[in-house]
Amino acid sequence: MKVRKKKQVALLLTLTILAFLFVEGSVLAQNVIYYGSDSDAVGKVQRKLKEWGYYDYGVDGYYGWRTEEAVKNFQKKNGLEVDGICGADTLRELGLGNLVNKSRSTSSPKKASGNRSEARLLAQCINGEARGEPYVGQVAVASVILNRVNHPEFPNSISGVIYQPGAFDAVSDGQIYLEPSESSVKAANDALAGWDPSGGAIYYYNPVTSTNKWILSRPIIAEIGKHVFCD
Amino acid sequence: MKNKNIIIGVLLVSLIGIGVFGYQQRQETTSYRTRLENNYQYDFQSLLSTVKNIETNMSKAIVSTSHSMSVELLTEVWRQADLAQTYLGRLPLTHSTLKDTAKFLNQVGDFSYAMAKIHMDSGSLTKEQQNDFQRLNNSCNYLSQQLQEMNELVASGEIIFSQGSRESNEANLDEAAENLVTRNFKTVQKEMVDYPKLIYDGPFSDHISEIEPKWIEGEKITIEEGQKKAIEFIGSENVEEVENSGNIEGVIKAYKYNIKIKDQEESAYVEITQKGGHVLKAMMNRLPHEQKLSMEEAQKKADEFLKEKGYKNMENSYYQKYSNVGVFNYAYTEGDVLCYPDLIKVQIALDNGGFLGIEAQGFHYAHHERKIEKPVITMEQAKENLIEDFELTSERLAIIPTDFKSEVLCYELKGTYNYKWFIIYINAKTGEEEQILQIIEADESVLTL
Repeated sequence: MKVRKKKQVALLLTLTILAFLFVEGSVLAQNVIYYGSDSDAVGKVQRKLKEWGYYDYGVDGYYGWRTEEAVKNFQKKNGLEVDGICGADTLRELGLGNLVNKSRSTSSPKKASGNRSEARLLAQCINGEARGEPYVGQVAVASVILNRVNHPEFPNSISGVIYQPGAFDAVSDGQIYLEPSESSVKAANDALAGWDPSGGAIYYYNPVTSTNKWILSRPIIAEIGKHVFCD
Repeated sequence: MKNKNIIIGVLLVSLIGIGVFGYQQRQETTSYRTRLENNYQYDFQSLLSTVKNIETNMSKAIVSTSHSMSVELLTEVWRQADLAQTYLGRLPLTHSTLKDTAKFLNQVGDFSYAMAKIHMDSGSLTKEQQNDFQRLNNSCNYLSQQLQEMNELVASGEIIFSQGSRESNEANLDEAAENLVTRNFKTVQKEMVDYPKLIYDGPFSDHISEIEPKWIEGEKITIEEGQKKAIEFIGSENVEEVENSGNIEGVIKAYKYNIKIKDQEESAYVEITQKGGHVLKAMMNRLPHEQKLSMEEAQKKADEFLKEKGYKNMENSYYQKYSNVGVFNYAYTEGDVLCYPDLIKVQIALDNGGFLGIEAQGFHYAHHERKIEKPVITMEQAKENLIEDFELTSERLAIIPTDFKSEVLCYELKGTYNYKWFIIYINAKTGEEEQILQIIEADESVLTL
């Protein structure tokens, strides 16, 4: 009993120390300005680079590839490690030493948000719906979902269309919650980027298993793999 | 004897155990079903009240003679219609039962918004628009009444949403048709389609689906001729096997080909238009590996590719990156005017710089010989619209598409405000702001919102 207690105390202590180290570590983390860094800091870097003739575009606070190229050129010229990332050395050389140690919020790059989450939901849905289908068929299923969003008879958002009761088997049976495959993710993004091999279809079905007379009567636009796409 | 007792004892205990387990399961199921029913009830009640609001606001808008009041009422109709559509889409009914009601609500909202825009410019509605609006109002009145009647059945417990929902999906529509809610909604739906086509400046206007593609030059070709075009596009030296995989009977009719690439796992998918034999789109079935090319290098590959395929005067506008794929958007330039509707997208694999896909549907829809009118206002006048401290970086003339598939000539003013990129489009005729886009540059992508 006693031994166990000792062990527990030791464990607790170790954990506390670890936790402390972890927190300390992130507070003292050196600021790295890269993709997703906050626009204020990136703006300062861009302004410097522009003043010194390394960067010829707008001071927009976004770390795109143009900024990266400019940083690389700057690093090359100044004998720094050419990695396109504004670490401590690069920042000091830029005369922005005051940015080296910054609060936690600027040290962790933010993930790009916006329609990324919709792409993910779309990928999950086609992963559940069309996993065994040829790649083009997966893109086509994603396109049907997007065509529905733009169609007056359907809900006006990707989530609204996907979660419409009874609309997709993968939603009804929970397969939508599986981890999407790489090919589903690319297929979803291809469809979002405008590739629509369904020919503008708003329905699809498997002619072998479907018994729904109404859907079988719709005009067929295209057939891909096991699926028929229709209007 | 003893053994027998033991067996009886064990059986008895298991029986009680199963009984308790079953009871608990039942309790749990009932609790889940109640929660589900509560959600559906909430959706239905919300639908009821939003439709009631739409009807009242529409009636008020008909009576109103002031522009500002009309705008207020019509935008409220627009907002409520969107909500009503959302609630409707959440009810556990088959799509075919709800589709016309959904379309009705979408058009009510969309039409009201288009009318609000007319009022905002202090314009007045035509006699026809007034009649259309009155007719929509009548249908809304009917919908509202029917929902009220259904609500009485809901209140008396005759309609239980969660019961019908368990089995209802598109596959067994016939069973679901027996359901009382479904029957009621079907009756409503019959009335909802009973109005003439609505034509107005909005994305759900009935004229949109009837717009013909403008640029499909050439004669109708055969499947064999199409196949030659597809092989030519991929490069005959790369082709191992070609198979025609049917047609696309969409707005632009096309032949489809699956092409097996020589010495490789991957295959290509190519669509060739039946008229003129143009490449509508193509995709390589391959997941690129780790990124080796920068987006800049990849863009050069895309530029070269388009040039090689004979597309002239195409200018790169935006680009994005996902799954180690670079996607580059190109718009056609007519003189010094950038024509955004004439859009071609090219995908380049970021591992080896190879071609991954092309999408030219936008180009085929919109491209035509344009007689671009001279702008009425000057660039300087357009710039007067900009907010103070807007850091202008580029300016040019551009043709942009509208929501309802028409085009408008604008001054395109690109610049930054408060570290954010914007493109502001000023109508070159009226000097009004036509569109504002914010550019999001992240993850090596430039996207507009």
